[in-house]
Amino acid sequence: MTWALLAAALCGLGLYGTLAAAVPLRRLLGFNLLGAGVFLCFGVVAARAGDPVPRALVITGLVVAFAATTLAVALLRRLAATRD
Amino acid sequence: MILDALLALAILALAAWTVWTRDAFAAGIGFVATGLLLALAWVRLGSVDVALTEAAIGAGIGGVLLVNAATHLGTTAEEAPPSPRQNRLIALLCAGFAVAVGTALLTLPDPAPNLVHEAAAALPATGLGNPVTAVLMVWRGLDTLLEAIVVLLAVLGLWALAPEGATRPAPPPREEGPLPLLARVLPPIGVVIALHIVWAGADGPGGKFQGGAILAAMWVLAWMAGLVRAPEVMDRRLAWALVAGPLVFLGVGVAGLVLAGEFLALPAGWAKPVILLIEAPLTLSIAAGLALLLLGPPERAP
Amino acid sequence: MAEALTAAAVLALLTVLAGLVRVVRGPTRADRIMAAQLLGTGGIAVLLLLAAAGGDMALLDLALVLAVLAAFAAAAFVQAARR
Repeated sequence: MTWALLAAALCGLGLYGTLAAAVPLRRLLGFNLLGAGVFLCFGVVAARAGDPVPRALVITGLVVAFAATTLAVALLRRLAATRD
Repeated sequence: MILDALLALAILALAAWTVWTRDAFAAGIGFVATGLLLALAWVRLGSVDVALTEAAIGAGIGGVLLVNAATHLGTTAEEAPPSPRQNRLIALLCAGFAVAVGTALLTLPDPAPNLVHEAAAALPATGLGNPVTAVLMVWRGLDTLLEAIVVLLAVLGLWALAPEGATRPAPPPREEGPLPLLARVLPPIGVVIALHIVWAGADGPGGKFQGGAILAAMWVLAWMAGLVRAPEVMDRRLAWALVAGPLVFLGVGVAGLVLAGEFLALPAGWAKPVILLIEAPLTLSIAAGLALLLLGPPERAP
Repeated sequence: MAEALTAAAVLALLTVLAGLVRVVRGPTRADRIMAAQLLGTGGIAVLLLLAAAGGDMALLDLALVLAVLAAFAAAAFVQAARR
């Protein structure tokens, strides 16, 4: 119950941060929070039945999210360098 | 329970502050703190595996990446912020989205459809004690292979963004004082803990991604202190370290196709030694990949 | 005994949350970094207490990982903050 509400709130908050921020880096932070919320949704579903499959998917998801974030940061730095 | 309620409230408050604060460095620190508390939340949700990954990759090296990016990029807006009306509309739609997700989670069918029995039934054949590792290695072996390749692809993407003639990432500022000392004391301990986490992954929470992240962090620490140089992009040994894991994994997969009749099928009774054979080079490749991702794209030598 | 340990974990979490004030208010970067470090240390305390209360020894591994990465993160934050 607690975690389901937190997961939903993080999803909404993260999506708002992704859409409403004007600074690109803060959009990226919002996107990562949205990801955290989605992963918690998986966690809530997994905890109800003690199911290992959603948990394995979350671990995969965390690694992919990190890889995507590094790429996004590199793109932002390249963009900043071309504007100078 | 009071512990859960406290934790959830703190995560929510911190996440909201991270979204709204103007200072990019502060937002990065806020993200790390949120991730740390999220790791505790995963413990309370009964999944130490995910807590380990969140602590090592989400809050740990992910947080370091974002804080670093904050000091490089600052808070220059790339475009005009949404008008107050647009902002209200976005907030309203996001709140609606959150309500929808919450309703869906609270009205899940009972008992929830799940794969517990299928996963438990497959466990004895693997020789592994940890169901999450069994799912990652046996059931969804292809996922894990592709995940390791995603790290490799991200490294290639990073290199593709490098300017013409770039050879290696820009060296860190020259360091004297406490950092070189820390960079000599911590890595030996960190490497032992990382190997323990990889090894423990067979029977309990742990695994190659979490252990690989710690190995990467230890190498980056030595690099920050100026004790090691970043490898050149064209270094052959680096290329082999990056592809060793996926190559062995693919080799075993093809061997499974020949010997057991299915790609990535593991011969009965041999699953555990074969998995260890895959995990060792895979840990090396993941650690090398994550470290390069943390360092950023190579730059031209000055 | 388990109840007492869990209560201690709640107490440790409360002290961690008090430290969050410095993450939020700053005012300097050093304040925020130190508060994040306190969060790591307090998190380790919570994990150790929960491990003792519930008998789940895997939590000790998590505490170890947190300890190593907190030291790494502190060094990285300081280097970033000086830029």
